[in-house]
Amino acid sequence: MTYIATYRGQITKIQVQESEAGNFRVTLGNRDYVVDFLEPQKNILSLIIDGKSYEVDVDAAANSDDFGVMIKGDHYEIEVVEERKKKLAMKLAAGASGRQDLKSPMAGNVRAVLVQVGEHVAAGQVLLILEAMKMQNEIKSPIAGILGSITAREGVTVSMGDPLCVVEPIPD
Amino acid sequence: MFKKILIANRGEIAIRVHRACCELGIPTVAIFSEADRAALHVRVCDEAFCVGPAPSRKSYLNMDRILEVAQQCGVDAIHPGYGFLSENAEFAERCAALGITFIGPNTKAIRVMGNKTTSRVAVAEMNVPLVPGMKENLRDEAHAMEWAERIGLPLMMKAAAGGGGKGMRMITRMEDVPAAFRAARSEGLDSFGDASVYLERYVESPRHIEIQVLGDKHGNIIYFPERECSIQRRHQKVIEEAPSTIVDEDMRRAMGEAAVKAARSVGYDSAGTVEFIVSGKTREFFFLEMNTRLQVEHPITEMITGVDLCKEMIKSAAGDPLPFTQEDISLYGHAIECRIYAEDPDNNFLPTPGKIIGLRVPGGPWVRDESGMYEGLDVPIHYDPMLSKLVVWGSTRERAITRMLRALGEYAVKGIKTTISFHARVIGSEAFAKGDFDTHYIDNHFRPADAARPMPHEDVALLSAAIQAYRRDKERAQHLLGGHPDGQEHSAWKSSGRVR
Repeated sequence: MTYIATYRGQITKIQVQESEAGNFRVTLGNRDYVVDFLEPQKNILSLIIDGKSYEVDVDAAANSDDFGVMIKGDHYEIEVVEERKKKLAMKLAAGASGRQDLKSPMAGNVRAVLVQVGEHVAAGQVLLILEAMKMQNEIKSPIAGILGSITAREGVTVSMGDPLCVVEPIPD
Repeated sequence: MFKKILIANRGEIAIRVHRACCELGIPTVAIFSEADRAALHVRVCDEAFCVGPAPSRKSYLNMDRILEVAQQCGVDAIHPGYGFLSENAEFAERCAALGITFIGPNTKAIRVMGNKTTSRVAVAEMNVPLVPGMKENLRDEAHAMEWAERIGLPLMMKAAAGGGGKGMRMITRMEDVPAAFRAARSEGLDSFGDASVYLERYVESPRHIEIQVLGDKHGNIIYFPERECSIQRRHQKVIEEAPSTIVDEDMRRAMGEAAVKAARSVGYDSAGTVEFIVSGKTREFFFLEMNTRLQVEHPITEMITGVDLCKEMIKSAAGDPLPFTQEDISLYGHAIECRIYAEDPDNNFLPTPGKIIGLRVPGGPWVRDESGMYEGLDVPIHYDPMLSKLVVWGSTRERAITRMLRALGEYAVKGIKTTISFHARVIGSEAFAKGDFDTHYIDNHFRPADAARPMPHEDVALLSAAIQAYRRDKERAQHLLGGHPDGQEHSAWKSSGRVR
């Protein structure tokens, strides 16, 4: 199976082969790895690669291609999409460029919704305020546009990655 | 001694206080909000009562309900921990009115030290050095301009009731004074319900160094060796150590004696901390404020002196005289504390509440973990993001540093992001090793470099994500084909339970 991984804007082609149960052959670009794989606890992987032992947390929401990986306390946010699906997605994205689906960057409580559907918003304008653990975070519009829809409701708790609102580009 | 103590707090500090009570043979009562039913402090204390819904003001700050619980279970003392009601004079008075001992100082001390301008007046009378500036509040913009001219640039505009870095504005140009006045006033009003602001000189290359004091109800007050708390992000401490690399024996004594004078100005009779701002250039020290409670970072003082501050605070509240004099306090070795937060250090320290799916706690010699975590705990969104404090001791600073790096390496929290690896990078940095930092180190110097660091295990991360994607896709494909992942044929009869 061939996947396209995107990490910090860098695209890597990854081939994954299960040589036998618990053993994988993985090719990253032009680098080959033989991986002894075990998942002793859900979402916690124990990998042995060339004699080196790694403990890896991998988290992915159901039906999401975004994987949160943690190794020795460092976090990696990686999108992994099957090659054919990725090509299709890139074609679609080119057709609907500019539409911004804003997702919650953290779990928290929607403290305030400052805009209404149909409202014109400027790039950088604060759309809503999220609060978690005594800290308030402003969610700003990445583009100038029109507010298409709002899923977030004041006083309602959201999880990380939950949709908040959609900003549509201004039609030509 | 007390018969039963209610701990009006949550998380790691509630557990710390419980441990002290336990060693003194005093049963404890925990309180919790609806969001904290599963919290560890509820499980370790002897009794536990819900005091209201998740928001703090309806639970951990709900004096009526907390006092009702206190009376119901017949406690004779309340330990407030830090934060919440710990510096609330009204709460202390209401405890007293019910015949319950508030484990903290007298209410006058809480009131006077709770306000920056009144505390400046009080300690100045005892000749404690102050940051040059005002001992009254500003009336208006014209008054602000007049004082700004008198003190000179650079300046700090501060909310009198402020704390935790809120309600502060640094001023480097005279024309910015009116705007800073307005901003600090509105922040003070928003955050602390008090719009009073004042001006003082801005101390360059500032270090934050504080002195723990301990007093009893018989007029004795002693000081402990200093704590260095300059490693901060957003004006909040993240790493503390004791002693400081810039304080020598003479300066230690001078700061300690100044701290005792400050405490004497309000007849201090409990555990408290006098915070100083120290110029990294001249090593002059100035009174900043006094915290009239047990401090988050109290364990590092315990580690280098062998004194259980939490226990001594309880004994002093019960009327015991201090069991030691100033001469009995000596300093052994070096201690460091890292505050482990549920925050993403690579994403502006955004909070990361969520479920802890795996936990491995460091151990070994001279390692202490003050924690409210357990595997399976869902860290709620409503409270402070501090999960635990990792504290180590070493016979020298170098040994404490290598021990802390070792302990941080052992500490594994799975399921949510934490600041553990960030701490390892700060402690491992050259500037930290040299002791060459001030309160701006993290925000202005460390973080820009840290954000651009190479990620050491990028390939392993990529292949892990790809393997998980592969396994998920394989499982899905088998589902669609009607087969089981283990290769057995799918049977509608089997899944409906008619065939065994």
